[in-house]
Amino acid sequence: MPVGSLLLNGIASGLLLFMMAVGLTIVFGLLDVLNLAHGAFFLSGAYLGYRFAGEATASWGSFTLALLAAIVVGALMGGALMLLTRPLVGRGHLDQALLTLGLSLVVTELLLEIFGRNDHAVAAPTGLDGSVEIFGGAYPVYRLAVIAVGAVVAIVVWYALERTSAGALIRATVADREMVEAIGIDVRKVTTVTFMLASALALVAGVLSGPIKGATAGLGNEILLLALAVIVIGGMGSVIGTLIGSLLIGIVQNLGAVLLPQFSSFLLFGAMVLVIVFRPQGLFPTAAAVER
Amino acid sequence: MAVRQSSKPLPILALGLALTLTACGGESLGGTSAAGAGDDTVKVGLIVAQSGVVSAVGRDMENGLKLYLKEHGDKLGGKKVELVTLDEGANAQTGSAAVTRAVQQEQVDVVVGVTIGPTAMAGRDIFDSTKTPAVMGNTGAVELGGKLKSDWVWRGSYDNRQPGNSLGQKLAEAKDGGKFYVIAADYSSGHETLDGFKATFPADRIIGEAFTPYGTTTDFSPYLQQIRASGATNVFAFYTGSEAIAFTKQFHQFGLAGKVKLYSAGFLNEGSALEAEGDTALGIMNSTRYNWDIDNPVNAAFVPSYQKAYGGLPTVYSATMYDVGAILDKAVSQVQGEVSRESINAALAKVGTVSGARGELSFDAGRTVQQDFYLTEVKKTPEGLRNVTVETLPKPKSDG
Amino acid sequence: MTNPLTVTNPPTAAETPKMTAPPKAKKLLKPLIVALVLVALGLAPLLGASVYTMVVLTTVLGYALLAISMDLVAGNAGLLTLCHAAYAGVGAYASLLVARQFTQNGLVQLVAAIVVAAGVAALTGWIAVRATKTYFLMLSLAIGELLHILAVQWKEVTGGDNGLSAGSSIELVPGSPVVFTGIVYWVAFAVFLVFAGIVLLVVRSPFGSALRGIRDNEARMRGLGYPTPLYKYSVWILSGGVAGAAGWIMTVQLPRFIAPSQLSFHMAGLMLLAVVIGGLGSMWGACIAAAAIVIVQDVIGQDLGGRGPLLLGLLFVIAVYLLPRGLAGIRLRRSKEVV
Repeated sequence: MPVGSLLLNGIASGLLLFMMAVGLTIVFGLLDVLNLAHGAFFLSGAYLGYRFAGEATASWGSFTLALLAAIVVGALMGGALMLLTRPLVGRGHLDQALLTLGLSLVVTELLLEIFGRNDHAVAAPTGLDGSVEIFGGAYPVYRLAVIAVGAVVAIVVWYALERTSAGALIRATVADREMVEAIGIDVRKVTTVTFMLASALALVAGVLSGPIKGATAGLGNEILLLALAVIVIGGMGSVIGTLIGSLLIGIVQNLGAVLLPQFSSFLLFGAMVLVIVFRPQGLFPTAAAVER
Repeated sequence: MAVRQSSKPLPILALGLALTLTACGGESLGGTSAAGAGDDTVKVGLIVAQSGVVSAVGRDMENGLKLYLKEHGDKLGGKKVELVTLDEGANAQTGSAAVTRAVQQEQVDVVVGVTIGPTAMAGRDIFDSTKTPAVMGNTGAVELGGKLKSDWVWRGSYDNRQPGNSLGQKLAEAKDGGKFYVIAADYSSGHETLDGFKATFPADRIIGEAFTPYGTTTDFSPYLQQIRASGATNVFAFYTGSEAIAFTKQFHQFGLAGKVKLYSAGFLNEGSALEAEGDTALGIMNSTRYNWDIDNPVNAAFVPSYQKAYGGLPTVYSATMYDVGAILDKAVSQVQGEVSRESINAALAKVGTVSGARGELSFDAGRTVQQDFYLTEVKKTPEGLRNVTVETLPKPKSDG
Repeated sequence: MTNPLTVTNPPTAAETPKMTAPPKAKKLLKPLIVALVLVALGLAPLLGASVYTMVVLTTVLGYALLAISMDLVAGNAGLLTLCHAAYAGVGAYASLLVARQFTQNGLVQLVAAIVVAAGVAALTGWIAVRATKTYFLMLSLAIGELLHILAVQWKEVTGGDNGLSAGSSIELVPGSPVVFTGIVYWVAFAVFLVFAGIVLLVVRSPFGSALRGIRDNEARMRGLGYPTPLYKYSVWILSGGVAGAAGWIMTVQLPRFIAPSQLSFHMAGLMLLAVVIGGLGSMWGACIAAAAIVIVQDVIGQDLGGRGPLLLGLLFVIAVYLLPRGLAGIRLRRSKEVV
């Protein structure tokens, strides 16, 4: 059994999962907004990747353009969502769920109208679209790039949240809103900017996942469920928790596909149940997370 | 002393009243239902997925049938067609609601289409008990021709086992053709397609088998790595839609494309999937019931007509529904007397051979279309990447 | 000069405004409307309703009962659930399997649906009732998904993704299958009334009040001596059984068919949001919202050329803004126990 390549692929899928989930862990875990449109945000990024980078080959320029577009559109979508949820302040998760689920249906349908109903692929930038020999077999270079990029994203987000004053501000806003307001800081601005950044992150993840997952109609729902499972298992609001949780899930799923093919589908949600029952705050919780 | 009202007569009276009213109740209590379409129109219910994950296939199916109707002045068998198009949605619940509406409300004379297997399975009981003929235009669920056979359900598309069955016969001939690994999505179509292959291909040459979780697998690397480790020189795979794209691309990315020959059941590199796969699909061979370049008079006219109407090459999904139009056309033209559900069904039983874009078609005893299968290879042509027909495969052997 | 403190023209008894409770008529308005609707639904087959209408109405009743079962736990006990659609699906599978293997008797199939669904609710619920609100939601999502995956994987029993069919109509009297959709509808309607009635009784009972107390402040209820986990667990099992009955209703008309997609997250999410749109704690609100979703998805959606999901999404968004307390919040004053 090619354990080495299974592990390598587990790490790659884990980091891909991480990038998909980190935006949601910030939004749901920290800002306490149950954003069921997260999958649709991700899908928008994937379609932007298809539009700018194309299906066959992509130059570095076009791929970078896709990423930039993802950041801009993501920030705008996040800002729009913040505006739309403003009247719902104080009404709790279910109303947020209602709004964001409705929006996710609308956004997904709009994407299909704009980009058509065919399934699409996204090309990796030239140079990253080949394969290298590792562990006795070819392995796509792009997945190695995903490992590298995912690690960088993890470090950057963690550092920004835990080691910068802006991050401290965000964590303070989550922990004690009134106190932060008392200092004279516009809490709404902080929350909005954080939301916009997290949304941009979700779209960027969509672009980056494009060469592996493509841009297809069912992707949004699939990503939403995966992201929810990942952040619950890792620890909502915790970047490290999401990272380690994603890696664990990626590796277990890859090994499970080979070792326990009959049961591999149950692994993810079974793990979710176990974590909620025995350690509801997640495997690697953070103090910054909202109290539940 | 309070008078106790006996409550016995009351329920009996109520029951009697209810039964009396039943006699003048509506059709849901046994009254006569509304008549179907008039004498010289035939009402056709087209049920396809217009929303949801398989809506691209549904759109192709709709295009195929509507092109046939347009080419024939919106007539089938000389009778004017009243077409009712309903959105099947993405699952059996919305699908069976669409079927119920077509059959019970719109009172169609015949139903055509149905994109996904579960809807066909749900619809089967409706068609059978309401005695409405239905010509399936996409799904190939084996049970519909076997345990769940119905006098009213016609598989105008195929049986899931046919592509593998044909291909298996051809590949079995090459005695030193190497060992095979078979892999498919873990749902009924995947299992049944592989069953078809295993029916005609020698078991001692199949050295491995895997089923990947259906609809949720986007990462095939653990399976591809197993294929690599098994030493197989050939693979027979069944995937459709986004899984087909992912499997094809990853087959190439994980280095199997040059070393292992990949065969599939006709949907791996079909239509827009080929565009998405690009060069990673080169060399893949498919066993398919339709290809744009197959050589027959109907197809020679169909392809340019389709291109003119919709701007791209027809896919197996559009061609199948085009042929369903042709089948109905011939059947309705042979209807004895008034056009009705019974007369259409009787005519389908005697429709004989129909010339379609797929070639010559006829129904067997199980009401499944008998057709040729073609071996295609993905090649680079001056117009771009295409599935190019290499040869006609042996006809699938049916097990009666 | 007159003494300003004396009242020169004291109002007569007739002129004095009554400072009493609102007149009886207003209190009876809602039950009256509900009664009228129920009577109309009951008489539908006799009023010449078409076969198609009967099938749609039966589906509506099934989803309405599912919504009621969800509102029982979500609205009254604060247990937001994403797995009751799966419980209903389990009930449907049970009743269809009984139909295939044992008997065509509709009532036996119904009992099987209720018992199996309640059993699964019992098995999965005992851990659930100890979790706090948001985690509970996530846990119910996971349970629902696990049941969904089980329905797909356990092909020998469930038929896998191709679904399961009863293959025959229900029988009330052994040997004579009920062929008229109108009569099947009446049976379904009767079942609906019975279980909606049971839920109504529970909601209005002291047990229901205790549940709402637990919903609002579990710690205090515990302090008062209530065994809160037991209360939550029992209502969970009850709601599971009601969901099973809903699953039976959903599959009682032709085609008697269930597929794993009925247990999916998509379905569960739609139903939970139906309950929210209806107004948490309001039974009739849940029914109307469920009915609206069924009609938009299964009836109107067929004619929109593929734009059904878009319409549904827009309706959700509009509902969030126009109905802050759900349908139940319209007109009526918010009361602690709205039914």
